[in-house]
Amino acid sequence: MPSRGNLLRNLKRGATALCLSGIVVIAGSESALADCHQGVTSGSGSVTVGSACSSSLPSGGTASWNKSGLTISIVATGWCMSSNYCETTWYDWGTSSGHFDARAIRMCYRSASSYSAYNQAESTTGGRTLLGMQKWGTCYGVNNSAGTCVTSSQSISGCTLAAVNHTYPNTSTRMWVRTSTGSYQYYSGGNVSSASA
Amino acid sequence: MRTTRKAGITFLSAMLLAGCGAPLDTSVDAAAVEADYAATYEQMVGTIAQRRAAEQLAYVRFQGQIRDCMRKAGFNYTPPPFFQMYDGYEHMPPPAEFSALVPVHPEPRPETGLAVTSQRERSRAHEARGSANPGFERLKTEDERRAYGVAGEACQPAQGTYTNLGSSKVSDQLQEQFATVLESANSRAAVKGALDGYSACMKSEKIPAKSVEDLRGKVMERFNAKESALGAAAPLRPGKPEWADVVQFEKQAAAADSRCRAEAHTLGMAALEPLLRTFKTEHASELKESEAVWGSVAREAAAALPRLKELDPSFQP
Repeated sequence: MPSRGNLLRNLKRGATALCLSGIVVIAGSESALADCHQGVTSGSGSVTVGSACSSSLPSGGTASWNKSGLTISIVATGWCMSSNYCETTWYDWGTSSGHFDARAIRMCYRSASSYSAYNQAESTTGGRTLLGMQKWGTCYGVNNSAGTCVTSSQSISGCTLAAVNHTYPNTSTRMWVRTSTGSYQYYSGGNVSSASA
Repeated sequence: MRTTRKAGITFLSAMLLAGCGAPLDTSVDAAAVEADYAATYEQMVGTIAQRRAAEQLAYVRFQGQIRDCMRKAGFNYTPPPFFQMYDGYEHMPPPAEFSALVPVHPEPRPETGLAVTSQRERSRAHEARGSANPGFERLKTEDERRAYGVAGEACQPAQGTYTNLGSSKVSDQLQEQFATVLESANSRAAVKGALDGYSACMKSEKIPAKSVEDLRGKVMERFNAKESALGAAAPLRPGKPEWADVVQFEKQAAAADSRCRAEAHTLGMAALEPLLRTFKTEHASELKESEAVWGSVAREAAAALPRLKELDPSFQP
């Protein structure tokens, strides 16, 4: 027995077929970015950006993700960072309607090397279907201000990953911050299907 | 099974009527449909009051767990101030990809997604409050600070205890099905025809954009460009001419969007009205179920208010 969602999808396809006169167009609106990387359903990698205590202790970020189970794990690592600087790692899924809602880890704590708050499955998707990697990269810069960013090289040939930007405020995306004063912040980022700045 | 099939057939009828050239009833009260749309959507994703409550409860659960755990480990932990992300919102912004159905306002509003500067202003004000943590700051040696950090990592609460509060499987299912309804209304020939003129209209307004979502991206791009040009030494702040420039740009963008999207929005509301009515009837019990989950979160948040005030003495409801 088909689920109600599947039944409605099938009915929608039927409606589309019945309306071939061209009066109505019911079609997906997948963005080029989502299309471009929707095949990258699992993977892992690391990027290096920012300060370093030595060549063997570079700052940067790591990410691993798997569409099966909707799991991601992201880490931001900062070695010998300048005062008020942070390392931030972003990851975002592509969805059938564009993108999901980025998850980010910001590491501003100078007495430790890493922060990896996000390492679990998405328990709710707001009714969206997560396809594959849409964005992942790490930035180094002043908290909530300009910085230098590096996106993952783990990308389909000919595709450009969606950019990450260090100016993106930590209050408008789902972000965990380890502050420079040893405390922690969690920002929910709001609802995944709503537009929020 | 019977109910599902009946609902499916009713929905199919509505889809066929909506999609196969039945004329749009443009006499419908667009404002009333918009209010109905917002109310229905908020049954799934929570009202602003409920979302505000969920933010408060998440803070209590996240910071409360860390502070109590750190205390047991022998450390003094002061939570950073609470940030209410829904200040300035009247309604939840609807999904931006169905652009004819996004509210139209001549001024920047969170509901249209065009509130980049006001939200960043609040973000900057929050950031300026800092995150004083005397229990950490008084530690003198690197070893002491490292030990504090190790304890802090060990005190991180399990994510399910504070993330996605108010969300539920029924809400997820409803949102998936509702997206089909919204897509159907947004892609009606008349609506799509009006939307097709958006790019040319915005170009004539000298703010090229393909959609309202794209327009929001343009405002963010402008903000980020100004920020990057200033550099880390002089971050973009309210009061600077560069900030005023972005504020002005966003105002012009909102005004142009309202002119260029008005017709599509009116037609979109007309297309949505019968579909919305059908959806509400067919999913009445699920909508109530989702609403009840949000209601329980709001009640729990109200009960946790004293705890929130204890964790953040500066908190103002």
